[in-house]
Amino acid sequence: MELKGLTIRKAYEDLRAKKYSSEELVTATLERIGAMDGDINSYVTVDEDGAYHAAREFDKKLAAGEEQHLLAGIPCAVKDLIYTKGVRTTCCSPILSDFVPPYDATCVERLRHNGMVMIGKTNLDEFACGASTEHSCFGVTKNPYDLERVAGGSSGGSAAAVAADLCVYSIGTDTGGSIRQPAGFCGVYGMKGTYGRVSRSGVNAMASSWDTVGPMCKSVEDIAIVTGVMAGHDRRDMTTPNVPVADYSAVLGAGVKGMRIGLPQEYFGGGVDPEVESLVRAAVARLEKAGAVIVDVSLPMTKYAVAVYYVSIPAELSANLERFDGIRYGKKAVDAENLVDAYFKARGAGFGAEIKRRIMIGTYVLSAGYFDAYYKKAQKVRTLIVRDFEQAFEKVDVLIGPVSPTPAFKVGELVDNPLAMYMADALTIPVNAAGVPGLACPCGTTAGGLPVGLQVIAPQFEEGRCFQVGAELERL
Amino acid sequence: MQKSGHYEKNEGDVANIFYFFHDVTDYSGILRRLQIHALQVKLLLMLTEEQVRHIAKLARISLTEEEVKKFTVQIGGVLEYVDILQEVDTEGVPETSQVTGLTNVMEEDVIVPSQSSREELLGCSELPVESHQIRVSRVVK
Repeated sequence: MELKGLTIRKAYEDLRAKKYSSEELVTATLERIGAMDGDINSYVTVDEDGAYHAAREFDKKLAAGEEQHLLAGIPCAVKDLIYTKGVRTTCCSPILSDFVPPYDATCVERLRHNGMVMIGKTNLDEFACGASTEHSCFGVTKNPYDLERVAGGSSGGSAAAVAADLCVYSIGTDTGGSIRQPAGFCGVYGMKGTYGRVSRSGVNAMASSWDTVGPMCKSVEDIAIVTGVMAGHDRRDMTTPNVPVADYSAVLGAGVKGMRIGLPQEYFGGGVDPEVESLVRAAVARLEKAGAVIVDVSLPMTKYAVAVYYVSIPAELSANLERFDGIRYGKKAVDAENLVDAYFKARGAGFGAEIKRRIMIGTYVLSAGYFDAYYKKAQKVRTLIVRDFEQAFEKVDVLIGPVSPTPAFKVGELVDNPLAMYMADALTIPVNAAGVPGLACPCGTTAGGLPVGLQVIAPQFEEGRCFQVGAELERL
Repeated sequence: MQKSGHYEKNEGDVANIFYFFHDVTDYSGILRRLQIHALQVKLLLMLTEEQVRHIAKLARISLTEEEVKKFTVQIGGVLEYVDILQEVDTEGVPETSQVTGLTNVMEEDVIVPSQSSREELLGCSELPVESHQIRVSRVVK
């Protein structure tokens, strides 16, 4: 069997044709991980027993002629920010390094219900705070295309595992670009859905009004399949609106004739690496030849998005991480004199530098005397970013731009410079601010062989448009 | 808390670097300049070490002296950068707390099976458990 480039669709066909069993697929995947992941470091925990158990369940049901979902029996990896019952979930933080959740996240539950075979949990920046996976307590994840460069972040492990064929698909989260940017760096597809499309129940909260969950795959069809399984209203997450999940497969072959594609002028030009820009423009030209209408648009609030993000996210994060005190879960304090001392020590020892920085920024901007100037102001500017997109979508059906101003940077290049690292997400953050969907699609490699990704952005709950354009790009 | 320090646009100043962010969106150029200036950063005080210690106390995080020094510069830099939001006219603009538009999401008050048992939840703690409660350190002396 060939693991390279193996998609859900192909694996589904192969399994039904009895070319191999799910158990054999797991064995081959584990062998490949053994051979390659020492260098790449995409997995934090490999759950051999769990994977074989699910694989054998699939094989048994197949033999008995039972009908199973398209993605049943197929190896997947889950970002270690997402809770999996009985399997260690660390959020790549020292404070949770031994934590085993007593329940599954809703997205995991839905995948399991449809026969997912989970190989293991993948590496991320601690509590999803980063753009390079360098802030993980388990070490950085390297880019399979160039081991001296980062896989991106925060879902670096999920992206690298798919890119290196150490799983067929994976699940990540995207709060400021954390699915799309690593997908772009690693040459795979990554879907950030509409805010509220996929339940966040069981996903460790970073910024509750920005967080999304989504798949990373080797094809647009695979993205559509996995999104279809995870998406939908969940009573455990009251921010999931009761919007029906469309049949995404229906639009995959529809093409782009007559579709109006907007190019935001702020996403091109001076700030973006020339090779990145030319690859993205070349992809857009191909779409134009296939019948799309290209329109120049403007999103004037783009330059304020990073500032809005670095007020809002630390604020929300600081509240969400208050619960980590080593009492009900997580590493307890050592040698605490009393309860308050226990808090200081557990958190002081348990959080990495970036987390401490962000909690402190958040504490500061929410404190009395500063709340209006910082947090309230940022929320108002966020409204203006939302309006930018609403106005643009009156003129066009989708927007296209690069995922990142540069291709993957070198390990260590930005890690001591927090603000420089923050700029890596300048083109992805506005999409999270507005809560609209964005699909990252590979659109070529630089002269140096580094993947470049573009993103297809649509209005809320119009994931289908992203898939329609992405599928056409895949064909061209 | 008072802001302290002031800024002069001299070559090598931290503040000067951050003005680049909203004058020019030359991201790769910015990265190059920051790499050079990272070695030359002067301690421009957007925030004092005293303030950083106070914030850490509010957030219940213990910091080493080295961390206090390092974070004072780094956090100060971020706060200086986000100041560009002040130039945006937000007169009459409402805040966005969330983008779903949902309000008052309700559900029926019925008992449904719990995702985990009480024992499983208590089992997550590293601290001793007595009578379904987690025993913590002394609260007051």
